[in-house]
Amino acid sequence: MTPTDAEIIDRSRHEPNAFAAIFDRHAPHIQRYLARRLGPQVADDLVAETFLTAFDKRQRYDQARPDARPWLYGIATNLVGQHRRQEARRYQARSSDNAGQADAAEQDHADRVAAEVTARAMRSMLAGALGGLSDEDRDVLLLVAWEQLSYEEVAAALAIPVGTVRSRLHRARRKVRQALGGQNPTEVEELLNNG
Amino acid sequence: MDELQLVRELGDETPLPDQAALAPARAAFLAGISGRGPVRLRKRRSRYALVGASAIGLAAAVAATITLMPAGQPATGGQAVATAPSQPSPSASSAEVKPVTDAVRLLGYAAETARADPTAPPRPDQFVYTRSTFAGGPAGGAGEREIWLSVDGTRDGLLKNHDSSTTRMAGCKDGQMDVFKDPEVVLGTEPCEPRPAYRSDLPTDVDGMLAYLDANASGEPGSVNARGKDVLGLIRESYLPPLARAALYEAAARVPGLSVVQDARDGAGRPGIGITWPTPPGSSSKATPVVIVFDPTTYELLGTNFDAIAAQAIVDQPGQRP
Repeated sequence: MTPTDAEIIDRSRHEPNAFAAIFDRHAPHIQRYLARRLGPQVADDLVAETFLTAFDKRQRYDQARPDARPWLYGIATNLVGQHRRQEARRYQARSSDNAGQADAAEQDHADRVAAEVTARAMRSMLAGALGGLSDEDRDVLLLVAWEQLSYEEVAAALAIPVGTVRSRLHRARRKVRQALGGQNPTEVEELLNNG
Repeated sequence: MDELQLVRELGDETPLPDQAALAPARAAFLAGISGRGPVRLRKRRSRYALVGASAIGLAAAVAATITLMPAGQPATGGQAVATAPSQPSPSASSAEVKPVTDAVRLLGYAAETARADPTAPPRPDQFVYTRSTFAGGPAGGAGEREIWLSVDGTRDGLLKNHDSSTTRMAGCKDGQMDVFKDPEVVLGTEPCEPRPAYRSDLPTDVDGMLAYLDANASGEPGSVNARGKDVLGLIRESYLPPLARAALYEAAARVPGLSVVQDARDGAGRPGIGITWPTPPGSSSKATPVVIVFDPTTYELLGTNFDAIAAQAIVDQPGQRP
């Protein structure tokens, strides 16, 4: 039978190397989360740090939680918090991706190319919108949208009440909607699929 | 469709990394926990970075010399055997013993050894089996892990840790792979591209390999540290055809600033000759250097100073040992 994360973490208190199994189970998702927020190179460096921090905190792990992934997302999110400027630069870079593309669109009248450029523009606007959110709101939005955590898991990861998760997510969604500025989401969706 | 879905699609552009990509981080993690002990003693943790030799390591590398056997010649009683080479190779250009003090020559020998590997290519339905051991530290004894990865990337592989816990390595079939927490708990599927463990897709010449490494660089262009990680990612736990492996070593030899570590040991304590690379600016002085270790007489890859490749083979089923 496969032990739960909680059982492995419990064992690792006396047998530290057992914690390697926690790395193997969850490192791919934690690395991708960090890469989405900070880029692949920083992610590679921070994934080891995430698990070393978790290892240091293992004595205090809540044994009532069999799945350690939300806890690990919380630790990774804290590390992202130490690299806010890096994250901001990433959104900035992505939101300015579009600048050079508008000219190309004017020169090329092919509909398909125009649609691709529009999709790219939409991505840029989205990146800009994410960059404009408060840190707390962005953490919640991205844990839900990218990492598909439930409200309860986000609450556990960030050590905040579920009600706070709901209100932050609500505010983040409203701000992103506003930043996309009256675009019909369905139309945008089609463009993204085509692009 | 709503804004949440749009944000989700922005995240979809980032792929899930495979085991090979995570190998350097895993080695750093294991090195970190073995240095900690059961009770946390230090408050300040050294930041993880893959860095080059310390000043002492470099000095040792310059001062020490090793005896080089002609390629393919077994060592007998620690004496170099002067044998006329049967075919020209860089290591057999002279029957005289000579020290390997430069990384380009060492990697050249490793490439020769790789090129001479007679192993036949595996079938797509087979698995690459790798057993590796990592060094024990104050925290506990040495550990071992076994991994079975699908040759063509479409079949589910398996990972067994030293504590017998297992992880399923999802294969990518028809563009979809299972997403799971435990082997029994499948959360759903997500889009993927197969990641073959047998890398027949790689270039077999040095220029092609350099272009591949540039196109797939994990770091900033020109980052030696990132290049080191990328090369390590390719040679650990995946299986390169002989010519691709040789090309990879030759491409690695073009990285500026590599140095040779004469008295290297792999994660299992086996002595060998190693390659390391310069410290990236801004690294913590406490960061642990990574050394890629080769057998000192055959120039086969042994592993790194964090972990050792104990066995590698092609098998038919996940869980099957050679």
